Amino acid sequence: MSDQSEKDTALWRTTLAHPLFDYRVVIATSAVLLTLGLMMVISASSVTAAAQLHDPYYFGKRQIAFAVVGVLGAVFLARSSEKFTRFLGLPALVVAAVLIALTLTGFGVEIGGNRNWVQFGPEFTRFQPSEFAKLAIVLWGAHDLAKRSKVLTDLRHWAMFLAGTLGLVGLVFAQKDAGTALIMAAIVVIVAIVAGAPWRLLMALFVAAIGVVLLMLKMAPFRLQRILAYLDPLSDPYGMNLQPRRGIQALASGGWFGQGLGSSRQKWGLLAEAHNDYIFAIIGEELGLIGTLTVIFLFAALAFSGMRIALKSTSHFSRHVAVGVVAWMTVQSFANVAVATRMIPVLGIPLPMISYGGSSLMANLFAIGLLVGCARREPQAAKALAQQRTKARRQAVIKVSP
Amino acid sequence: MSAVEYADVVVPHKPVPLRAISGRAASSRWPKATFPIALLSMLAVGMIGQLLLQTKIQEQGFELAGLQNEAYELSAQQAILQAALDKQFTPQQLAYSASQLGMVANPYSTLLVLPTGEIIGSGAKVRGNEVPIISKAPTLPSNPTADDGVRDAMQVNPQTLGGQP
Amino acid sequence: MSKPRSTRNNSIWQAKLGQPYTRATTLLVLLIAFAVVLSVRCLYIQGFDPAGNAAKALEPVSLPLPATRGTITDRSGQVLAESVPAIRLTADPTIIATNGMIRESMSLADRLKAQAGPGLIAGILTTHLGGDYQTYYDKLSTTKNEAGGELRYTVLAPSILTYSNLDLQDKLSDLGYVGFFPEQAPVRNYPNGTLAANILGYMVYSPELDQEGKYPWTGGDGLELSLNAQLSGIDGEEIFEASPYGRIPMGTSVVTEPQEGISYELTLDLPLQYMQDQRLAEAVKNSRAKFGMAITMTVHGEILAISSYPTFDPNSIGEADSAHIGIPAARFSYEPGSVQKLLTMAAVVDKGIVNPHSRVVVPGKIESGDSYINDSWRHDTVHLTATGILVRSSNVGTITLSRQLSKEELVGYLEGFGLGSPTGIGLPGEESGFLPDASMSGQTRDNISFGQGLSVTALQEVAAVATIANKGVYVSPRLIRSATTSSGTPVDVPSPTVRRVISEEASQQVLSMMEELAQEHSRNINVKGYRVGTKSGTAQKIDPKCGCYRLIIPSYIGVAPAEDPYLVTYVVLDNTPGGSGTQWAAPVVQDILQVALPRYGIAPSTATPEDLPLFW
Repeated sequence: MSDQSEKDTALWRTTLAHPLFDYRVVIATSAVLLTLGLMMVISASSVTAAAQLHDPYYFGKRQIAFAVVGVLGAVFLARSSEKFTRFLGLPALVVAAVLIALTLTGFGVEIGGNRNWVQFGPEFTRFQPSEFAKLAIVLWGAHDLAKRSKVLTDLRHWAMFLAGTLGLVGLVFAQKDAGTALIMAAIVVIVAIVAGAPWRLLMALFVAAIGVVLLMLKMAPFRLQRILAYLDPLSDPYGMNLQPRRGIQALASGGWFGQGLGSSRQKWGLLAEAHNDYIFAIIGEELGLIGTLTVIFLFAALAFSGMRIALKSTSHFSRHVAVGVVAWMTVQSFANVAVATRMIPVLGIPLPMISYGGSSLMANLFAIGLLVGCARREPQAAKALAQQRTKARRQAVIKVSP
Repeated sequence: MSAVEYADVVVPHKPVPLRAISGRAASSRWPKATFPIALLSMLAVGMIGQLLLQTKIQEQGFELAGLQNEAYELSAQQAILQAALDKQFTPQQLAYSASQLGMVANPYSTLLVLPTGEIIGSGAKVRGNEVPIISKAPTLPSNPTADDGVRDAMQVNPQTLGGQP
Repeated sequence: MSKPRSTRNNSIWQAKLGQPYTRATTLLVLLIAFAVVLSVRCLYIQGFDPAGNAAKALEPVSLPLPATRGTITDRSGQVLAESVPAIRLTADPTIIATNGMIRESMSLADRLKAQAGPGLIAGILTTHLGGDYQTYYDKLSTTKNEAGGELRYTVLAPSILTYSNLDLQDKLSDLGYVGFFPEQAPVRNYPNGTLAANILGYMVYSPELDQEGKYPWTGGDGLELSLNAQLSGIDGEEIFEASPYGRIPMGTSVVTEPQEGISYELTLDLPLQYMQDQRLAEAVKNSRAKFGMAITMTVHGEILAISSYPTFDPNSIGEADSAHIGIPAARFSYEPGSVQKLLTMAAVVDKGIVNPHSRVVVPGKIESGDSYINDSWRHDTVHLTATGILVRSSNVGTITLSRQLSKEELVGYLEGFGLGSPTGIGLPGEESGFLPDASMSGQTRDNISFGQGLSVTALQEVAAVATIANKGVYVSPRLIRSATTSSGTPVDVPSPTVRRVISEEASQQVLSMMEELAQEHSRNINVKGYRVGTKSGTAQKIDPKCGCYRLIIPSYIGVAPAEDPYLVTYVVLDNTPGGSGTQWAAPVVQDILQVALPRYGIAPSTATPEDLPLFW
């Protein structure tokens, strides 16, 4: 018996030791999440789309189109060299800043009470710059830190990094999209932490964060109301607490195995943002506990493999990018799940790769592409990939020649 | 199975000589992925199928609701038009219309006995005062015309069709 | 990954970097831990669900499926009473205040739109429904009720015909306004206005039903009341899962079909009803009576027309005079007067005591109790035949004959004729009249012989005389001809009481006496082309103002054709200041029979009647 368990642990060990393990895990989990996401978007949006737009696949079709573009972009980014990827950093930051600034001008479009969209004419040019801002801060932040990797003991060298990234966060915050701003701030902080930020710096950031949060609450009483509604679940059952209540009901009615794909009741106009911020609740309703635990597990696996990629990376840039992407995916997905399960007040952030939203889907996929790129560039993985290619060729040759 | 060696992530593994039989690296393995992938694909296909079915059922639900609404509307229209029509058949309306046409009541009928074909009575000409109770050109409360009757029914004045508040 | 050595002295800007490996691993552990926490939370909500949220998510809604009230038609299918679908338009001012949105998620445009709502909608309502703009505006914008809480229900229009409502709803949803809820509120329509209104009845508002959430109108009087249970049917119910986008398919769905109301076909003949109503109204006005009743029936008890004047319009029952609603033919008891002599004569003829030719010596007055009874004309002893007694309507002669019967026999015959108990016609509040029993005094027996000292309703009296016309067989009067369910299945209706009261021969003999009477009064009653049998009645009533017998209840009854009767018409007027049955009521009977007989295809009489002697 111990022989067998020894063999099993050995199996696990060797599998984990495989140079392409993390690379394949990231691709596999992303693929599964994406597929699941597409199915859930179709399911969750079909009623609203059919009722208001007379085409139940309206949102699904769009999501698939964005997924295709995102996957193509991801593949491109994954296969790019480090030099090229680093080169994208600064332009990304500048473009992102400009686009966010544009939301405050005439090109800005308000949807659902939030003015965080830009549109240049026809409808398909409409997108959310804040999503791409996350990409920008990861890219540029990693690039900046990597540039200064030798002098980071000097706190002043952190200033540029913080100014650039937190500046973008500030712009997003000015759009009144506090949820996204919070996620972006978390990404910045986590990247800084893993990059080795000194305790003094972290302390200062912590104090500043508290100040900002208080400012946030003072500025918009709406946010305070959300917190109050969270603290008293029985209050305002048809107002602020309606969505959270319905989310919990959706999850609960899913039970262990779910109602069945497509059989959600809450998507019939009872749960707002069913195909968007609250899609996790619909997953819970349709696929049950199995579905929700699978989604959480997939994101956790993504985090695990992503961190391993970060630690195995031989370049500072790759490490910072990997950490940034992992931070982004995990923090945002776990925050979304925490909102849906009513562990924290409503934040208004989507579930990565699953929620409906062209901008966020594409940005997420590009981020995954960056992560896969980091994995590919890791020397052992790169070697293994190259070996596989040659092995395949050689095997083909062996097979062909008698 | 060859002996499994423990490998450290950091140490690059030695290149293994190409073996025609098995191409796997000695120090790390990757279990065959075909079975799980096939399984997952089947699952995905099944789920997509169910999703499409459910969506179709939803669509039909909407259609059904629309048709039911239409059916209700139509039956309500029918009832209202019927009521307007019934107003035209009242004896008051008939008496009024007949007298407007200059007709007078003739109580002396000529009877046809079936099946013999015998005729009783002789169809006497009337002077117009034989049945004064209805020949006196009755006036109706609002002297409506046929069009008024239908239009009345289509309008919203509750007084024309039942006066419950 | 090693710490770079700082080349400067330790200044405030120099700090040690953290170890990435440690930090990353710690972070990963924290993230995995958080994932576990989330998983446990999901397990808690989905696996165990202690708060029962799964049940709260599915809240099936129950929608009543109201049953359509049955239709009442006349014998040829013409509608007397029908239900027309209509909508009561209600609104929820609290929803209208924010146009259905959550206040916090409203943009400026949303807010402006919601603010403009009440004004715009009030305008649309005024155009479509009529009514007052300000009233609509106030209703739409008052969001607080008296207690200061949220007002969530207000009635905009109590009764709209359904397709103008749909037009309205389309308009409102096109403009993007929500918060309007139509409720079923069918309206009872009586297309014929006042015709047969008294026996049809009307609808009244029932607060109990309203509180139960049901359709709050129920029958108030007449057939609408007595047949209310059958007409109403039983409401059905539909249980389903509702959502803003409609019914959820594949959700709970239980339908209990409503049991639609039963529809009734009455024996009434609407055109005849119309003519009788008109003629009665004229007679009541001319005679200055307080009110009048007229009943035309087949001798087999089918009521073809039953009129009351003054009457009311059930469509506008709110404006009706309460004195005019009700059913006098079933509820007004009065002393029948000389028409009663027909029944007395029928009894003695059936007993074999007399026949039309029998000779009777009739004194000028007769002692009865502690006073005397005399005739309407002063005379000494005369020699009248039985026919003569009836034709001349001699009280003394009638008493002389009725004294030949025992009290039990007389009461027995009168009970046989249906007096003293309700006819069972199925109208609410039918009176039984008053018939003294066999223990009555001799004076009472004398009185009831000529129509005083007992009280009857018009229905009882006409059915009694119809017995004579119907070959001696009493058939209780009825209004309902047949009934069907909404799918056309026939439903049983109560059958009349049928019994033989006098022999066919006796009925024949009394009929010939009645015919003789009609001929004697051919100046007053002449139905061209037909032989009729008639009797007049002129009962006296005490005028409370002077305590003297000054008011009259003139009545007249006619049966035709005399050789084989089919129809009977009875007219009663109340409280005329003078006159007689022959004067006021006979013309009505004549005119009705004149139009009714050809209507039913009754051939004009060919044979000439036998002439009966009145004196000897």
